[in-house]
Amino acid sequence: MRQEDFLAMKREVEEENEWRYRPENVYTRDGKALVSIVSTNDRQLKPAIKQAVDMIGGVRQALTPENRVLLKANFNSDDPYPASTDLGFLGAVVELLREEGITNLTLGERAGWPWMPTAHVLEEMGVFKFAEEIDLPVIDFDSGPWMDVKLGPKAKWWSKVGYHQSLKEFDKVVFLPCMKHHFLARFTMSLKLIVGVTHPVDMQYMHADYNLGKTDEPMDMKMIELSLPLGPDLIIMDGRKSFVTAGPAEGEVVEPNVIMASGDRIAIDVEGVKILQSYPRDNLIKMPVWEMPLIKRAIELGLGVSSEKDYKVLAS
Amino acid sequence: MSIAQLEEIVTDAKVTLDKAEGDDRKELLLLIKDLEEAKQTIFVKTADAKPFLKKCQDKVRALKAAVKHENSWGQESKAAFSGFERAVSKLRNTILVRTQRAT
Repeated sequence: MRQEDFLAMKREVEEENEWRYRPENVYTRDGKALVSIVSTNDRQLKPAIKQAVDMIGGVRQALTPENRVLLKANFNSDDPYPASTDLGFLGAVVELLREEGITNLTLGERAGWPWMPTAHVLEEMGVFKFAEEIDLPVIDFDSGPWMDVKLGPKAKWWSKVGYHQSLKEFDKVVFLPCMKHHFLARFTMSLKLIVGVTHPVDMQYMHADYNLGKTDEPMDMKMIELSLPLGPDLIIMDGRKSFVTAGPAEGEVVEPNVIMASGDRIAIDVEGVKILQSYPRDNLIKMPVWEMPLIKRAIELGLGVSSEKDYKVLAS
Repeated sequence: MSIAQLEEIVTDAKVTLDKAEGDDRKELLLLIKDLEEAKQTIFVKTADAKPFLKKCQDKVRALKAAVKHENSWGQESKAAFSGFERAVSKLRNTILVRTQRAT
């Protein structure tokens, strides 16, 4: 989408509310959040995903067969994995959930605005064809209906943000992020995935800092507040391949060969960043992860754990 | 080199304009505008831009050859145009991202 077309987009909302879906993390043990890291070096993809989820308590810990479940993957652009979700990974997750009796699944997505329309991205990436083959409904979040959700007093940069109204129709949310370096936000994993359920016009404000030269309005500080109304029940992160430079659409690819799972966005992202830091590069993650402004702000906002004492890593 | 390469791409794209039809012609004009705007960016002068420019150049040459071969905006030209459109879109999106206006 050209910039002039993006700037000409209309912002219409159907309602204003204080909607929230911030589920309690059920993937805990002895009061600590759990993060699993499973190597795919010696395992097939689907068994690795199953093992990662089973290690933290299993699918049924958070999801039940009567749930309507939104799958939020990462089809930000029409670039291949790890820029976008691998269809093999998506298919394996869907199979796994269905085998556990979780059959009411829907994929919802909005691409980053330069790559919009999202339908184009989904078409280019073969998502529509694949979804039809596996009988998975897809919601394109480009168009409405939208609801303006008040973010409340914790938010510094927003009073309200447009979220897709269909979010209210789901009982549970599963995040399926890729694991990438990001040229602006340092990294993009589960915490940034929220952007893809918000109104595209709100991205004009989110990115206005640089466009208008307001470098005191960093995009990542605005972005992280988008997580205030909505959180996932379960996160399954595909870290078989990652970008360790640039990102989100291209960059140097490394192969950590891991699948990770958690119910806590901060914990899983911190562990993901640590893995990326094990590939030293001239990039934006050359600093202690707990000192990263995005992580500090996520903690302030209460989006997850606040230190390594609060979670346990289970590796296999 | 990069600006000269861009100018060559634009020149080749303009050659096909006469035969382009309907919405494809409108889009081709916009793609030419995108390429003209790209000339003003720092990105196209960097080493990172090389593969994007090479792709645009290859695709516009394929388009030019298809139009010449068909002497009309036929199936071959339409298919080649689609490839060129994708290549320019990729360059345009990368410039948007690199200039920190989008992610």
